[in-house]
Amino acid sequence: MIRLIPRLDIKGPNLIKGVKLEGLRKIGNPNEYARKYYEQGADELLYMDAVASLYGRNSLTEIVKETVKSVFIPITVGGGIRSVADAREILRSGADKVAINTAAVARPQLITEMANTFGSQCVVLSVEAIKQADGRWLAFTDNGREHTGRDVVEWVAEAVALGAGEILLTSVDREGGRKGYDLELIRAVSDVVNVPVIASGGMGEALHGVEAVEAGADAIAMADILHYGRDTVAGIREVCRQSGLAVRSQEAIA
Amino acid sequence: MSKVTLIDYGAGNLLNVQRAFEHLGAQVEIATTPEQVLAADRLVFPGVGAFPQAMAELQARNLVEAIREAAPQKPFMGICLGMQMMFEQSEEFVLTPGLGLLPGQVKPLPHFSMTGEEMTIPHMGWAKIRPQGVSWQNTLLAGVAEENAFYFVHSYYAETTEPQDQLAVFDFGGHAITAAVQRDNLVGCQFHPEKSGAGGLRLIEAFLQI
Repeated sequence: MIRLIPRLDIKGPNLIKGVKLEGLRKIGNPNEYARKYYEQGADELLYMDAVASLYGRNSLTEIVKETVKSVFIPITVGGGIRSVADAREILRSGADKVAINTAAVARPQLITEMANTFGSQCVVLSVEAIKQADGRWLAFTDNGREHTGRDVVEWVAEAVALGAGEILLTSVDREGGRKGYDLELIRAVSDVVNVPVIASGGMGEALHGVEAVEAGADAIAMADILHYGRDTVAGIREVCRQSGLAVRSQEAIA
Repeated sequence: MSKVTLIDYGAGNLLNVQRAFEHLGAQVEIATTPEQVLAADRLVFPGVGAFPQAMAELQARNLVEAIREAAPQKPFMGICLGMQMMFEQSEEFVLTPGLGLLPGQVKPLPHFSMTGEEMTIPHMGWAKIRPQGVSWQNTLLAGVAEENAFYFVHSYYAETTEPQDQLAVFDFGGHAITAAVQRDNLVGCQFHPEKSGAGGLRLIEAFLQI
C-alpha cells in the first residue's frame, strides 16, 4: 500500500509553509494540525524543523512529545540532527524515524552509524534537489540554500549502500508551487534504489499524488494542499483509490 | 483499571507502546527484573531491532527464564521482534535461540514475489491482515473487520510449525506471511498496534480484556 504523509514544517512553536522552502508563512499550532490529519486518516506524519540546521539544533522534541500522546501512527522527524545522540533523543521523544540531510552530507558515515544503532528502517535520508541547466539534479541543504556539489542520483545510491532505509525526496523547484511533483526526479531516484521513496514538493491536487506513485514513489508527502484546506487526506485517498492505487481503505481507518 | 506490565530490556518502541496502553486507561508498570516479570498480571513484550542483540539483552538482565516461566500463566503479547522472540530460533545474522514459547522459526522475508519481482525490504507500511484456516472467533482479532490495515516494519517473519498457531497472515508479493499468532493466552503480532491508528488501539483494548 502506498502511504499518504502530511508534512509539517516547523519553525519554533509554529507550523509554517513557504514556497521553494523560502518565504515561510505561519499556519498555526502543529499539534492541532497533526491531530486533524491523524483523524483524516494520514498513514504517517513528517515533522521537519525548517530552521534547525541554521542554529544547529532541533526544537521539535517538545512538539513530538505532545503529538504522540494522541496520534498513533508512525512519525518521522528531521532537521538539525547531527549525531547518534541527537537521533536517540528524538526517538525517545516518540518519533519512529529520523530524517537527516546536512549532517549526512558532511559525514556520510553517520548514516551507517545510525543504521547500526537503530536499524535502517529508522534512518531516512532527506534530499533537497534542485534541477540544473544540464538536466541533472544537485543536492542542497538548509532549505535549498547550501550547495553540496553532490549529484542527487549518485548521492541517494551511496546513502542507501551506507544504510539509509528510506528517501525523502524534496524537489525545491516544485515545493509550494502546486504544479505537481518533479516526476523525472522521482523516476531517476526510484530507478537506482530499492528502498521506499517519499515524493515531496508540488502537490496542488490529488491527481498529482497519483502521478508521483506512477513515476515510482512509495509514499506521497503533502503540505500546502492540506494546510490551506484545499483538500483532506480522506479526499486524496479516495482519488488514489479510484485511480487504482493500493491505499489503506477508508473503512480500515475509522 | 487494567494493569499491564511492559518488559523493558532497552527495546526502542517501549515508550510508544506505553503511551498507547496509557491512552486506553491501563495502569502501566515497567519490568526490568525477573521478580517484576513473575509478579505481573499481564505481560507485553515489545521489540524493535535485531534478534541476536535483543536476546543478549534479555540474558544480560536475567529475564529469559522469568519470561519462560511467567508467559504460560498470564495474558502475554509480543509485538514485532517481541513476537518473533516467542519462537524457537531465528536466522537473523546468526542462528540464535529464542524463548521457545511457540514452535517455529524466524526467517528472512522472501526477496522475490511469486511472479519474480524484487520486493522492497524492509517491509514498511500498512497491510491488510486476513485469517488463513484459523477462525478469529474468541481470539484477540475477534473484533477486527474484514477491511483493516495495520502498520508493519520488519525484514524477518515467523514461520509457525503448527498451522493453528498462525492466527493471521498478510500478502507479501503473493506470499502469505505471518501477521499474528495465538495459542491460548499467548498472542503475538508482527505489526505495531501502537502505530496502527484506531484499529491498533482497539486491538490493545482487546488484549486488556483477555
